[in-house]
This record gives sequence, C-alpha cells and structure tokens, in this order.
Amino acid sequence: MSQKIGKVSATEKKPTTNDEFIFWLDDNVEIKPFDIIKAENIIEKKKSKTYALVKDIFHITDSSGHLSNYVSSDFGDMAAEPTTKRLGVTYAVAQVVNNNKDIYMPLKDGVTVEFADEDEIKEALGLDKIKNPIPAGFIDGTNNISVPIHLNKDFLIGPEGAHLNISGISGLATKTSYAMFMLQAIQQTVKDTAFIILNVKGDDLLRLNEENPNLTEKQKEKWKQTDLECKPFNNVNYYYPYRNIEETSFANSSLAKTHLKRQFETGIAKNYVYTYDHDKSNLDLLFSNVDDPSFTMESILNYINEHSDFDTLSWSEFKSKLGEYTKSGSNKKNEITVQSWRKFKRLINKSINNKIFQSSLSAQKQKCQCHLSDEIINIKKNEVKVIDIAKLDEHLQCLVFGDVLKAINELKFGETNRKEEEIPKKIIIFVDELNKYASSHSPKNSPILNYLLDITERGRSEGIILFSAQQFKSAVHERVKGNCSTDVFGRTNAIEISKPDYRYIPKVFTNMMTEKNKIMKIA
Amino acid sequence: MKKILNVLRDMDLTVYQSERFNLDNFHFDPFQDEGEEFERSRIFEKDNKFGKFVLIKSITKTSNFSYFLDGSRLTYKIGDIETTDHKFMPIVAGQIATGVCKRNDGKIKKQAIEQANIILLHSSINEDDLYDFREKMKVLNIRNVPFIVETYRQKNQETRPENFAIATIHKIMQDLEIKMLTEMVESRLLKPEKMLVIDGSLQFMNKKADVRLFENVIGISKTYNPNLTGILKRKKQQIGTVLTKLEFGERTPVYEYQFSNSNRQIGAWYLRIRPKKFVKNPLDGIVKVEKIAYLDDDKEDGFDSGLIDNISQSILLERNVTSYGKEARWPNHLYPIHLTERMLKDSFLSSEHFLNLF
Repeated sequence: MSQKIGKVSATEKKPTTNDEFIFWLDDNVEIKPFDIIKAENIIEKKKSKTYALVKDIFHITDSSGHLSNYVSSDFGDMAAEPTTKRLGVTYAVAQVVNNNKDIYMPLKDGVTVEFADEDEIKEALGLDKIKNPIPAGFIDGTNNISVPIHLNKDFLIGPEGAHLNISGISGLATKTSYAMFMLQAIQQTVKDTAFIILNVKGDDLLRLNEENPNLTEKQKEKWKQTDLECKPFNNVNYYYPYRNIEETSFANSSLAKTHLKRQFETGIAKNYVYTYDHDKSNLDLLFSNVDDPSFTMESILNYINEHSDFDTLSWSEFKSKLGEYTKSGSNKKNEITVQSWRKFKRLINKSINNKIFQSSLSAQKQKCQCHLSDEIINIKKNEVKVIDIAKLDEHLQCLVFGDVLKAINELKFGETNRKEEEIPKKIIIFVDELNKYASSHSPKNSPILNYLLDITERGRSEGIILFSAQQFKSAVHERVKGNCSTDVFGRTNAIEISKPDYRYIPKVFTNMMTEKNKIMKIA
Repeated sequence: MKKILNVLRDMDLTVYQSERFNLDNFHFDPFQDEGEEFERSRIFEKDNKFGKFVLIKSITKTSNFSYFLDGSRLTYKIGDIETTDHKFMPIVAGQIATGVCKRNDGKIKKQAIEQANIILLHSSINEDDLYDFREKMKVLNIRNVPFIVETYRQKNQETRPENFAIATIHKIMQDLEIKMLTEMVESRLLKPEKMLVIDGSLQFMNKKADVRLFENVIGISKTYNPNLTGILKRKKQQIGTVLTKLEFGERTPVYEYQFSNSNRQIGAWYLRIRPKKFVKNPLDGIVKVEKIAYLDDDKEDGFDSGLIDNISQSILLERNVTSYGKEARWPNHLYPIHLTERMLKDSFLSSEHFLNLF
C-alpha cells in the first residue's frame, strides 16, 4: 500500500525541474538515498505518475546560524532544554527517473509524494519490460520492500552491450561474491554460455561445485525471490599449476589436500604445464608488464620464433641456447645486441624455473597434466572452467591469463577444427585484480593489454565477454573500463571516489560507497 | 477578473491610480502599550503589598502555555478617490490574518487561522454606492479569502488620512482576534495549565468583549513605553528607571490600571527573561505581562502572588529557543509567538499579487 511521505516544494530559488525536485518530509517518515518515490503529475486532465530516486536528504531549521543555536541554549548552557522545539524540516532532493506516460513537465508545488510500491518500482526502473531478464540483486526500500532487479541479457552479455566491471576495496565490497552470483544467474538462465574463471587469491573460487553449508534459510529465501535455484555451479572443471608433489595431487594450490584429492578422483581437475614445443610462441606473455620502449624484447621473441636455432628444444636446452647468444661477439648472426640477449635471458631464467615448465606432458596419469590452451579450446556449453593462478608469480599469472585469452580468441575466431554449433555462443571470462593485467600504466605493447582491448572493444560481437573486478577502478586502462556497459560499485574509500571515474555519479551515492555494507549498480 | 479600481470607475466614481506602496514601511512601529493610561496606581497582588521585586524560583520545567494568538496585517495605499463633497482621499487596502498556534510536545502546529482582505474608502462615500460596491466585492474571493469593504473616518486634520485607515484595519484585525478567542473559550480548550498567550497588550482588545474570555489568557508585550509614569509610588518616576535594576529571573510587582469607560481591571508586571550581560540595551530581555482580573476577589485585592509567580515561571521557560539573528528585538521575543507571526505572514499573498488586483 502506498504511504504518503511528504509534499513537493517549489520555491523561487529552488524550482522543480523536469529532472529534479525537492520535497519536504513528514516529521515521522524515514527515507534513504536510493528509495524510489512517486508523485502525481497532473497537466489539465492528463494524470501521470512521476517516479524519482531519492538523492540527498537535508534537515534545516529557521536558525540563522550556529550562534543563534548557542544563544538558544541559554548562551551555551549544555543543560538547557527548550520549551518549544525549533522550527525545522527535513527535505530531500529527488532525481526524476521516469514518468509512466512520458510526461516530463516539472511537478507542481504541494503535490503529495509517496513511496512507490513493488509494481511501481518495477515500472519506474523499466524492470517490468525487460526482455531476457537476468537476476542481478535487489533494491531495498525504506518502506520494507525488497524488489528483485534484473538486467537485460542483451545488454549484459551482448549483443547490445557487454562486459561487467566491479570495483570495491578488498574484503568488504563482496566483489567476488557478487560476480559469482551473476555468473550463477547466467548459468541458470542462459544455456549456451561457458565460463572461464581465474582464481587469483586463496581458494575462494576453487569449490564452486560444492554446496555452501553456511547458507542461512533467509539467504536461501532471497535466492528464491530472484527465481533462481540456490545451488552450486554445474559442470565445473578445475585447472591447477603443476608441481611435483604427490601429496597435493601435483597441484600448486592453496586448496586443502582433501578437496584437491576429491576433485582429481572425480576427474574434474587437471594440472596444467607449459612445454617448449607447445608454448614457445607464448613467451611474449611473460614480458607483458616489462617496459620495452625500443622493442628489443619483441625482436628477440620474433627471432626465437622464426630462427631454426630455437626449434625442437627443451626448456633447459633453450636456456643453454640463450647462453650462447649472450657471449661476447656472438651477435654476428643477428642485429640484436648481446646486452639485449643478456637482459632477455635474465628475465626468462627467473620464470622458466617454475615447475609448470616441463619438457613434455608426463605419461603418468596420476599427474593429470594438460595444456591449458587445449582445454580452453575444447570448452563446452554451460561448462565452468576454473583456472587457479593464485600461487604463481605475477609474470607467470600474466602468461597463464594471456594464454587463456589467446586460446579463447582462437576458438571464437574460428581457428580450431570444432564445429560451429558445438562452440558456446558466449564465453564469459571472470578475472579479479584486472588492474594487474590492464593497468592504466601498462606498457602500450603489453600483449595481455592488447588481448583485453581486443575483447572489450570487439569481443561483444564475437561472444567473448569480460567480467572483471578490481579494488580501484581508477587503476584500470581507460579503454578497457570504458567499454564495460555495466559497472557495479561496492564499498570503496574516500580517495578513490575523488578520482575522475566517479565524477559522473552524484556525490551522495559516491559517499554511500564509502559506507559499510553497501553495494549498488549503475548500468 | 476585473481590476478593483475599474469596478469603482464603472460605478462612475472618480478614482485615480497613484503609486502603490506598502504603508507599513512608512510608519514607525509604536510601542505595544502606546497610549496606555493609568487611572490609579496600586500594587495589584495579595502577597507583595510592599511592591518588591520577586525572584522567580525554577520549580517545574513545564510551561502552562499551550496556545499562542497573534494578528498580522499588511496595508497599502492603492489609489485616490475624489468624493462628491470634493475631498481627495486615499484608498487603502490591506491583508489581515489572525491565528492561533498550539504547542504539543514542544512542537508548534496551526490551531486556527482567519484571513480577510480589506478595502477602505473614505466615510463620505454615498451609502448606496458603498452598498453596491460591497455587493460587487462579495463575489471576489482569492484563495478562499473574502474581501471586506469598510470606511474610515478622518477624525482630525492634523493626522494623515492613511493613519485613520490603518487604525480601522487594525481594529478589524483585533475584532477577528476576539472572535477567535471566543471560539477557543467556547470549545473549552483553555485551562489554567493550558493558557493562551496574546502577542501585545490586552488593553486594546475590544473593551466590550466579555471579560470572562480572558480567564486563562495573558498578554505579553515585547515593546513598551519606558517613559510611563503614574504607576510607581513616586508619580513622576518613569518605569524605565526601575526596570534597569531588574535582574534575570526577577519580576516587578503587579501594577493595576483601570479604564475610565470600562470596568475591566488589568494587572501588569515586567519580567526579565535574559541575563543583563548578554543583551545590548538596558531594557532588552524584559517583557511586559498583562492579565485581566476576572474573579471579584481578584478585582478587589489583586491577584494571588503565587499565580503571578507561576505565570512568570512559564514565561521564563519560553526564553529558549530564540529568534536571534532573525529579529532585531529577539531578547524580548517569545519563539512560539514568532512562529505564529510567521505563519500569518506566510499566509499573505505576495505584495505583487495583491496590488495587481487593483
């Protein structure tokens, strides 16, 4: 039932406009920013409802200043109690969001303002007309209503718009939880989509196929309200970096041994390795965050890929071969200086000492070794592939992520032998800490940045969708974040909201982002 | 809608549209007790026959005042009329409003408000013409506020005719106040613990009004004549010289005055509601309080001193909050009265709107 909360107030200095108005509040009414309210807009005999979103809330009194309040307390007597309360009013600024008859005339002074009910909130936000809805959370009103909100599939994962970006500080913003909710919603509602999830920290995302024993009945009820089943992900496969320790099922991961064992026993986990023959061409990914202004590293990589000296080697032979190129006087064969070869060797040596670099795939079945790119290329519809990179060094994480992106590109650009109808129409990649791979300070020729730019700028039409998260949006490359059609903001800090990325959001909303337990979405 | 001056012209009256202006800006606000006369002087309370200052003890935090009555007016000269007896007299118009606010749990809300628009013509207008004009004005109604047509009489040549017109408007407003008070009393809203405070002196309330109306009513004047004589033992001593000695929380004894042509007896006393050190002028922070004697006993021997102390204590409780920064005379202002006044002023049409009706 509608509840009257106040009346529109139009004054000489603060008139109502077609997109904003002020209303004063009944003394006993509580509202909060983001509440959806309504007011009747009557022009002649034409009646319509104007819906608005509460922005700022103020309280004023007729006091001319703080001095007046001091005087009114018996000249600063803390114990003084006034017999008459000072005349005061609470008023709110509301942003017009919709009119149900497309009338955008300003509201008139004195019009009653009411809370919108559930159906009216849906009408106000256009939720009642959304095609292919994907549950995206709730909007909670002060009037004790909780309205499920949906996003239009076409705008979330294409073809009209694509890519979702979530910002918020670590731990408190629930970025990963929200991303998982969105992916779960998509898995339940869209059947021809596949998911690739990169686990960058802890074991958060390494148990997506398991029930959560800590879910309360209230939380389960909320899932029901969104028309979703409260259940773990289906068709999940895990990929861990290989290491030669049997105890952990040969996986280099933070996940508990028992869980690892179970996953390998049920055949849903594999350990990925990089062999020279298979992955020589991916070496450039190791240099993603290395500044290479004179393109010497790029020249060396091209040389390695093209020159027969570097064919059919193992990683150790490769290191020895590099050794030859770093000796004085050895640059007669090519135009690259010995100093450049030495720098390359120094950088590459550090990386390929990791156990994921193997000479070939192990014949032992218990080691479950695989080439990650081959697995990605064979991804099936509705499948979830979780790739653990949490325990790898940053440059190796870049290698793996780049390898995944490259494989997806190959798959979606038809460079595989798979039948078109078997390939998932959309592949959603979720990556946390996006700022690591598409930093605003990334070198221009960073291969990962180029892949990400490719995905965000052209991936929509090919069905490659990026769901990303990071602590600070301001740290992400302009073109990557600029191409995300849906932005989600969680709790962040005051320094972050002072950045230009937040300038278009009203101050009251950015301030709310610094408060506890707040999540909001601006699409 | 036809302009009001044109209505007069249509009746073949010679009317000139002169520069329209607000008359309130041209007349200095008189003291609220201006013209007060004392027939006799005596201490008008039972337990303070020596007429000492009384320090009011703070016993309770509950005020006995629940209702606050005020009247407000805006007056304008809107034109001139040439009368058939060859007089050139101003046409004065005004907006008047009277209202009562009720305080409940510290919050002020509207109890009642009455408004009227007044058009004043010189008394020499032909009575039939006046009747016809009144009839035509009856249909005019802006925001449900009626138009009242009255005449003013110029009692002497020394005073400008506008002043007589203003006095007439003021009287209409005071009559409206009495009407409102009557309704309050008839509704049995007023009680000793729910008294009504009138802004200004009770002396000028219609002398014919029933004295019983004022049983639970006091009048508080924020401005008063400091040169008043005749109420102190030394007849020539002006009241201002005594009041400067009044300390915070002290009141004077109750003085009595009686009207020559009325049996109404009024007791008046002064009370300091702000400490001396916080106000600029020596009489700032002192209010004048009036109460009409209603019981025979009171009329004979004056009020019980305890009753006067109780009322004084309630007035002291009214000192917070203040209208500091909004009103130049904030030390003498009571905030609920200030709000009532504001409610009335906010109910008026803007001057532009009102003057354009003419």
